[in-house]
Amino acid sequence: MRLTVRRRKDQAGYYLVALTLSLPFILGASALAIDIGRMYITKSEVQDFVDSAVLTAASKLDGTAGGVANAQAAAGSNPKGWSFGINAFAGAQTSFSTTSAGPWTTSPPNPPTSYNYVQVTATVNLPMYLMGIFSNRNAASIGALAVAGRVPVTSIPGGEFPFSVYTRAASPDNAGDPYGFQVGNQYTLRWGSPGTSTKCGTDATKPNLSTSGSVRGYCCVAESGATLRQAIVGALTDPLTISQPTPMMGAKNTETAAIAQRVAIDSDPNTMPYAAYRSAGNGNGERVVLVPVNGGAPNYPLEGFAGFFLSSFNSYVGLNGNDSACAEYIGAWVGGQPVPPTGQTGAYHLKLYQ
Amino acid sequence: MMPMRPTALRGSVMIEFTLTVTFLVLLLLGAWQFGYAFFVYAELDQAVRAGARYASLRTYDSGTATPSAAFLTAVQNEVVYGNSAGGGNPIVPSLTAANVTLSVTFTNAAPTAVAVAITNFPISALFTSVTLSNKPACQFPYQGVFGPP
Repeated sequence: MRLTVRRRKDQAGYYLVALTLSLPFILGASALAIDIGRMYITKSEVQDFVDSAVLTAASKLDGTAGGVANAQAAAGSNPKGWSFGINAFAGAQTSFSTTSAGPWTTSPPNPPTSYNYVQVTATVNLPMYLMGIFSNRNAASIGALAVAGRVPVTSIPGGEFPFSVYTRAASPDNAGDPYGFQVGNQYTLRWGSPGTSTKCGTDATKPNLSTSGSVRGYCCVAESGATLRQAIVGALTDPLTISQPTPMMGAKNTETAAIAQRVAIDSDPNTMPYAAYRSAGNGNGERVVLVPVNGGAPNYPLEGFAGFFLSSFNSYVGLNGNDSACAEYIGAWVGGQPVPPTGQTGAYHLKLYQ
Repeated sequence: MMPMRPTALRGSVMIEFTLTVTFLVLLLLGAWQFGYAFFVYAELDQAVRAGARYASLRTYDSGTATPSAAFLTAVQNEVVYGNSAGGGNPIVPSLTAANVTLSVTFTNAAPTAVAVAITNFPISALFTSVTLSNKPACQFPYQGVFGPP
């Protein structure tokens, strides 16, 4: 009996003592659950910010110092916040390079030729409310990095303009261009009657690569008038891959006028040429189209892609089946950059590299 | 000092045990509640990022800042189910398409940015429920093809 009483006496206070001794560990575990949870969220928020900021910045680069300034401003004004979206990001660093692997500089030369890649880094100091009690760290430094830039287009899932121009590499206006085109010159989107006639720039004086009177330049979409009009206005076209045959189609007499509808969607449907359109800054880029370039009959292999600028609204109104339709060559087409700079060639997408 | 009677001792131990266990259970449940809420929020944050990125690349088939029903549904499915076709389980319980908002910024009559956010979504845990309003949110510049009808 005495032994039993003593044991019970010993037990008195045992739970409180045990709780007191284990409390730091229990609170520490709770602190880990809460503070690490916040760190996990913050890491995701920082990554959101740099991903969004870097793509916005990359879309502003145009090979000029103004483009670099616009990219820096765009990255800094991204609306994403941290700490559950409450705090704005401050001190994000934007740097530039000519490759996706660097080296990076915050002050590229002027003009920043070929500086088509952007890196954005951001770091926040997240206060540690509970872990600070158990360690000397009152804040955790959480950072993220993202790189974006151009990647050449070798195939597209659709979205190209449903006309394919013939390469002029064999009789070039500009031998330095991969297709022989000269920036600023007009080339033929759609050939007139009898299928090899055109009034578009120097195309009219050069050997024609079409051997078929029925192939007038339409491509990349099912052969029906309604589908073609929809493709011209809404860019609903088929996938294409470089070096594969370009799916050219027969003549359509009435759909050329749909180009005018496409031009009318642009907020600047009249300014010409492209340099003036770009300088005015009023256009939304609907007149800038991605055009497949083919190697001519008989298989019309897809040589690559190019950027073309549609002429003014009135240039396409009233065109009939006997008329040719022209567009201005601007060099490169860049997805995500509605009004790209001239001076480069090919077609590119803006890619998030990391 | 009079020694404590055995019955009193038993009661004392019971009270200590009850207080201790109650404290511990509340502490652990509180930690679980915070942890669960943070987990759900982090999942939603990643989902809106994926949804906004998807929206920024998909062909925009409306002529105004109001997206077409097909565009909106595809983006909402991307956020809720992780695929634009829909189907499967939501990434977090009880999340529906109605909780996903899509805002399209138009500049010069063309889309230039898309933003996706979670709204009116309650994170229900043990003790309380927190309703998210316009967060988490994520915005990307529009990079797709503008193809109005």
